[in-house]
Amino acid sequence: MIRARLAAVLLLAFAAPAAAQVVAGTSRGVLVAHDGIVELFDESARPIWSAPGVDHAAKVIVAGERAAIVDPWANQVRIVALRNGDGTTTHTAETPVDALFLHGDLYLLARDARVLERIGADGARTSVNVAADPAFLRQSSGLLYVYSRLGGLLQEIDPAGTIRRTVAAGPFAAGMEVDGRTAYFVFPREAKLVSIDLEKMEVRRSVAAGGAPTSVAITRRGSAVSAPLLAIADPAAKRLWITEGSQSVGAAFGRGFLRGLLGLGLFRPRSAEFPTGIDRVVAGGGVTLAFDSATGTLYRARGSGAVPLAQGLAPQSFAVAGNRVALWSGDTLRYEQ
Amino acid sequence: MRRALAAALLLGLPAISPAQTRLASDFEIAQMREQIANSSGFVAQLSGRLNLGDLYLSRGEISTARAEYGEALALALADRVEARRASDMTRYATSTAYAGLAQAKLGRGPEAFELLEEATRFTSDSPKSWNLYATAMSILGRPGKGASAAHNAVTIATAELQRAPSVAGRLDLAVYQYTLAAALTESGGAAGAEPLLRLIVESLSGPPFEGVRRQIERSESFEIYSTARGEAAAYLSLLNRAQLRLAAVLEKRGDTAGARKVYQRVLEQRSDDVTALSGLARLTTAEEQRRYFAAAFDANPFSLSLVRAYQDHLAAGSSDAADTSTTGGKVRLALMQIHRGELRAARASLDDLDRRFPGNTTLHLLRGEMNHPTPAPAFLSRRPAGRVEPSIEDLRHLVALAAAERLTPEHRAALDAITFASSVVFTAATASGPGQTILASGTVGAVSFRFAEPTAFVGSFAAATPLRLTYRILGVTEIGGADALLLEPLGLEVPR
Repeated sequence: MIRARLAAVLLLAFAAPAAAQVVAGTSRGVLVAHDGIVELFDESARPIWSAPGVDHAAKVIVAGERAAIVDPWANQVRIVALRNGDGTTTHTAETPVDALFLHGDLYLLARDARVLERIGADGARTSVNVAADPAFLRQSSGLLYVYSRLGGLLQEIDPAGTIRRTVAAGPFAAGMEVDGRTAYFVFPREAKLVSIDLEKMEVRRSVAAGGAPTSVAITRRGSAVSAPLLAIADPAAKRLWITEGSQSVGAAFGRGFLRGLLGLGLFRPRSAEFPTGIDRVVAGGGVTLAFDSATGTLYRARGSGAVPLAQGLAPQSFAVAGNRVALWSGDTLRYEQ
Repeated sequence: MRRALAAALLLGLPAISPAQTRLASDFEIAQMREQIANSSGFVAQLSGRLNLGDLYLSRGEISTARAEYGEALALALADRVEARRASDMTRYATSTAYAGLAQAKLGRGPEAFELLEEATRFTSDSPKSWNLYATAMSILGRPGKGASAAHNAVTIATAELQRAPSVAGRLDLAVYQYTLAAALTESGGAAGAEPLLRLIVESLSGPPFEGVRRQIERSESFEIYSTARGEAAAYLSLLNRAQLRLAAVLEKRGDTAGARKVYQRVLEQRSDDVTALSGLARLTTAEEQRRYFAAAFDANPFSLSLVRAYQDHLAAGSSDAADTSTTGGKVRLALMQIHRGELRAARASLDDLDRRFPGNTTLHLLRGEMNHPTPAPAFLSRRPAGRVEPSIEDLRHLVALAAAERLTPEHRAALDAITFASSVVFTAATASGPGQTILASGTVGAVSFRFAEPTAFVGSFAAATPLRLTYRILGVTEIGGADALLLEPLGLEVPR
């Protein structure tokens, strides 16, 4: 019953403090979760309020007037009001790795418990079992989509927690994004991009995508007159691939553009070259950021080039805020154009 | 024969003083130092450092162990940057996972977690990455995360083996099954672990490994490492660890005969295995106990679990006589002197040992306990146990005793039978539906506690407000790096 703990206790006495820090843009300013607190800053990087957070923040989800700060190490989430930072801390199932708000409820994907938890606005909780190694949670048209890496399954779940449909997207994707009724996945081992038609829940296209794509972002949402624009981070090629989404991605990739940069069709796909391998990409407000996790270097993609913004950053310590970039570095928030 | 080989090789190694009694792990330490000196490859250097850290840790040489883990971490961090320069993403993920393991061995949970998450971003298809993840989480006392990662490793490796059967693949799968069994045991799922451990032992004894066994016979290998390189080393280490864990599971559920049989099998492979010797000492007749304890102390005089087992043995009224020509005998003599209340003689014995083994944590712990003994709370000896309202002081002593492995089997049995009640304050309270509150951790005076799982209580309860909790004490855990009580809640009410 009583487990041997002396060695662990002695070792923990030397433990360094955690460096978890997450930045997120909100309608009221920039939210920073770090060192067990959460702070809101205004557009001049002046603090508006500071409130208790979680010890090891890994993700911040914002919707309307609320934000959820997720701690997958301690299995906790803190939900705060953006108005003043008031909030509550809640324990979650084992290892919450992704989350989103839908219709006022918070949905948490707990990887090691293999469940999708719902925490209602009134605090009521329900959960549904999902496939093994769930990694990504997205929403489209009021429905939830959970991708699980081990079996490569994409499960469509309604807000009440019923699994409606399942499609095999392929195992071990490293990145997922949704635009409209299309989901995009990148697979580093097979070096491919797969798009799934969420209306039909079937694979629309699977095409080659660089050397080892690890992250995908929507840099321009699709509309009636234009196709969505995707950015794909490829650390092996040290490139950020930019191409159109579902309307023409098949043709573009099918002609081998990503390997050969041939550029076909109405849209001429392009790429930006980086001095180091970038493995994360985020986009918003016309800004595309690429990040090298190995060196902590953040770049802003501009045309076929890259502008380094900062080095030694933690992987979540930056965000697009309006048309600027908010950076948390050295316990200070600053903005870059 | 195997012991003779070890002794012969040790004579040629200057790192071991001839005047110093040889410990069972001396040979492995010498082998790892030689590996580090003669091999420049990343895996050889890294496994050498990790193994040295584990070997020193088992001997109570904690600062030396930490230095080795620090070297392993530096190697892994340098390799991951180099791998990215070379655009080798698989190598990057592997070295990142090893950096996570080194951080776990250094006790840095969140840092280890971040690195292992990073590794699995790139190689979620790699059973090796998941196995490193699971091992690190088990080291950090997070079996829930560890078991899930180990399940992933076993599932992927099973599919790989079906696609391409090989001896190496079978061995890898057995390693991952062992990690899963370890995580299940630590999360209270010993019933699920036992069949898995039996399967591993059976699998390793089967025809597919005949070639590996012949290789071991030819080379007369016997070394046990935590990070093994090559099929023979992995086979030997895995068989040893799987059998020891199986024996512990059997012992815990009362199958003494089964446990003894398995411990004996371990000794056939490695005659000076301190865990097996210690296990047999617990489970055998008085006369054999003395023999097994003597052999176990000669193998590793500074094993804390062995020291505690021996103290229990003495406390049960057993007599002994130590042969002080060995270090193990000298430690046993000091423990006997402490037990008999001969404190001046005990201090002299420990001081003598400390001069020869400076910085040894086990010796320092024993010396500290002599100077400031922690009394066992009176409720642990009360019969019948019944319901207890413990003082804060008693709870603090209980935490200290448990963390230092000083609770006897009788103490543990008493704890299981006692229902406690205290005024507590919870850190956080979450409303969960109408008339329900979820609570997880808090304090009893200055003593922190948490529940095994967040628990929903009927009623509305607030954090930072005194409440009356009825509970059982399951053990010790950690909150924010500090010792805390692990409780099973039985009831909660607002004080009248």
